[in-house]
Amino acid sequence: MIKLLQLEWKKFKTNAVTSLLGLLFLAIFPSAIFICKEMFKETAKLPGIPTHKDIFEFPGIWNWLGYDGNWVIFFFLGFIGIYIVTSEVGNKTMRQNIITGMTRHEFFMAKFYSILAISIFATLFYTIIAIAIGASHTADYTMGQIWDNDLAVLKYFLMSMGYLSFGLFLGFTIRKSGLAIFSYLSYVLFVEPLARMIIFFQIVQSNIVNFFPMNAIEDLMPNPMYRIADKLPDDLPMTGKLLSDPQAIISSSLYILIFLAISYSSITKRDI
Amino acid sequence: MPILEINNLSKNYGNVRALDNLNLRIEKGNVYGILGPNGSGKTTTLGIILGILKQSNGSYQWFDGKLGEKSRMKIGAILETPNFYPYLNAEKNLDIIRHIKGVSEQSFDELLDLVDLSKRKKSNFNTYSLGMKQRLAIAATMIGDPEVVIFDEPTNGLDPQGIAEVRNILGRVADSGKTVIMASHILNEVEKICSHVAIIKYGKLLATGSVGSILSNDLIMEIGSDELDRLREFLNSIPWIKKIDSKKGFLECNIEAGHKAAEMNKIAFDQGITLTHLVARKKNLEQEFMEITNKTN
Repeated sequence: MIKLLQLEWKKFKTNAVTSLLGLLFLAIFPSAIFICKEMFKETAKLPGIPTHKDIFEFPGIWNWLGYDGNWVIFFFLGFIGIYIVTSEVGNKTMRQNIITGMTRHEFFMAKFYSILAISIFATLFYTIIAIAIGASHTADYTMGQIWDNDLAVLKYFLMSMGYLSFGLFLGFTIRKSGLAIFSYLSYVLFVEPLARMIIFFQIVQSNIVNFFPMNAIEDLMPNPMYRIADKLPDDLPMTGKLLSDPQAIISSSLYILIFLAISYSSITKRDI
Repeated sequence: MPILEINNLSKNYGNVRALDNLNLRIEKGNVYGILGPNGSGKTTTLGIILGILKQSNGSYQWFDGKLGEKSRMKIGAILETPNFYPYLNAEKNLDIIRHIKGVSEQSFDELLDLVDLSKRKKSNFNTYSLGMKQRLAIAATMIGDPEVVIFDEPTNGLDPQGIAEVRNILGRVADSGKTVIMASHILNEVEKICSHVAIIKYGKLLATGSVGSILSNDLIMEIGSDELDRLREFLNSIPWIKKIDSKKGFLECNIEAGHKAAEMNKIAFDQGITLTHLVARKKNLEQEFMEITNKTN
């Protein structure tokens, strides 16, 4: 495992694309949350609209920073998941790695360990920033209150693995950079939301549409304002309801396994 | 002990049969040329034995099957084009190969000297000329002192100087006692470097054996005279002239090995024919190659 991670590090540590995406993630993730400071200043007293207290103090900071992470991981880290595969296809270095002596199994494991390491790092980063912001905004708190976060750390980790394994999956199956990135963006932003709406309104009005893969992964760290929807009656015809934590955790874990399994099958069975 | 044994190997791309029941046996120490026109299945063969293409049928075995999937660790190979990380320099690219091969850390100075890239070892790969890329690829095949090295069209696309440099390096590699497998469509290259040759076309094996047994030593002689008709009549009567073709102003003859230009000049003069043009050269290898590939078609 260490040998494969060292190899990936040698390949990508000075790569312009991965460095840029990584730096943007490191910079934007902790700073984006402060947009909320400006955004919700005037409306602080309105009902249903979050106050600074809701956002920056424990336990709210875990949800709001997690939702911030939802976007930056989708955008910056998900691309890294795609890029570390498609760039090797494009440069034909995947071929050369195999010719040089790696097995296909090892090549896949190197990429899997990479997204695992990135996700662990991103989760640590999230945890540290959440505690730092929470601690500096909450007047009085106990150790217990800091960690009273409804499995936020686990959910954040799964969310990161979810986007990155989806990226790997598209990289390994589509192989062409441009097409893989286009598919990633259009699937997450348009195809799946549209498909869910069409199924919901034309075929079957059931919450089953909320179990689509990207929606399940998003619902690990959803927009905290959507939690309002939980208070609405169950029979209201809408798709905006969130999955419960156990639902999101179990379905996302299954999707991650499926993405990885298809990636593995693609690299081991096809010509390279 | 065969280093590589290929049995009934076939590969289909849809309806196209790129490789058709290929059988080959390559022994330790052979410098083995795989010769064939473009699209004959050379790269497909190498792709399969290097684990990046899946055969449709048949099998192959490296090192008597002793190493299984790890056999590529003992092989240095380039396929088609030199493939490296464009944003890394020569040293870092070689270090990645070293890392994969599981060889301990080393300086690449000697290796880069061998392929004359020492001065540019800190330049990124994407700034290299094609010749430099090809030379770096050759250096990369040497890492870890592999038992077998494989080159695929190593001089493709190079200028004459680049071709000479690369052939020089290949010659040295071949002399080092390693088993070398080289695919090429250039006969002359194979003849200069290889000990054995397999000729393939349309994915089928046409001929295989030592270079001497496959490629004949016949000479070509261009013979000219002011009286071409009389000359032809006379040449037709000589038993060691196998074939006569008319060219502009002279006749081109296939001559059995062992006969010289001086001999030809003398017997023509004895017959009262004055030659105005007489050139003896090795048989045109490309032509011979065409003959082999057409004959056995």
